[in-house]
Amino acid sequence: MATDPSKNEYNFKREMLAALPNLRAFAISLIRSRDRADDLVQDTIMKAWAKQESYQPGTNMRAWLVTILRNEFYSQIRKSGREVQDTDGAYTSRLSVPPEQHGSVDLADFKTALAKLPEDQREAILLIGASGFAYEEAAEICGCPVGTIKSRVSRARLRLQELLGIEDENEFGPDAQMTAVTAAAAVR
Amino acid sequence: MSMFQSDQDPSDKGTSPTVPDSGRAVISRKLRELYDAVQDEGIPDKFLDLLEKLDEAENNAKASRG
Repeated sequence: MATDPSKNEYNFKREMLAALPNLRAFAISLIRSRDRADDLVQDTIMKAWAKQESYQPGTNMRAWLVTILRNEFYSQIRKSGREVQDTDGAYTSRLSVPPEQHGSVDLADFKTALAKLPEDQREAILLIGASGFAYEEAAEICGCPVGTIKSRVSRARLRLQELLGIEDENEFGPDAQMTAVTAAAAVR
Repeated sequence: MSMFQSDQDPSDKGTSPTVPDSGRAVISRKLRELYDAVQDEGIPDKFLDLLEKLDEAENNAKASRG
């Protein structure tokens, strides 16, 4: 079957454009430094463009781009030997969040708490909780088992709740779900 | 924002709706806020320019190949 290559390119570029805001949000949330994140997005665009033949149209462009970005990110870290974690403590030292009313968490405080998570947990909760990937997709992106992603996300949630002082002992584990179920049943 | 407002989070089905803002719901909302803040900026011009250049370079290469 003859396909029109110019049409494929057009779609590729358009699909890429559509995926960029979300990709950039992931990069900035993961890395915190906007400049570094934007550099990484730029590298990702060029890498993706160069290997666009390997993208299968109609598959998940966002997942494909995130995979490229992530590989690029970790390979840059390996090359530079740069520590991923916040080495100068600029973010972490600012964190002094008192237990607050639920729902009144400031976005800046949330970012600070997020920055304190280990890289793999931050990545996992961003992919699942913000990028909106399914656990299976996130597992494929990170090249690890689904169970690993699940446990990273749940550890990330617990740690964030702890850091932000929004622990809610009622909602952990199967007991909480049972309570919810029995409470719902009791209403009837 | 009303303190009685409940956070309807689809990923949060396990908790009772009588708990208005569970820790889990707060985190879900903050994650979305975090992304929204960036996504609302749209695509920076430098990326649009870059894609334009990549597109042009490719078209030129094709044209010269005939």
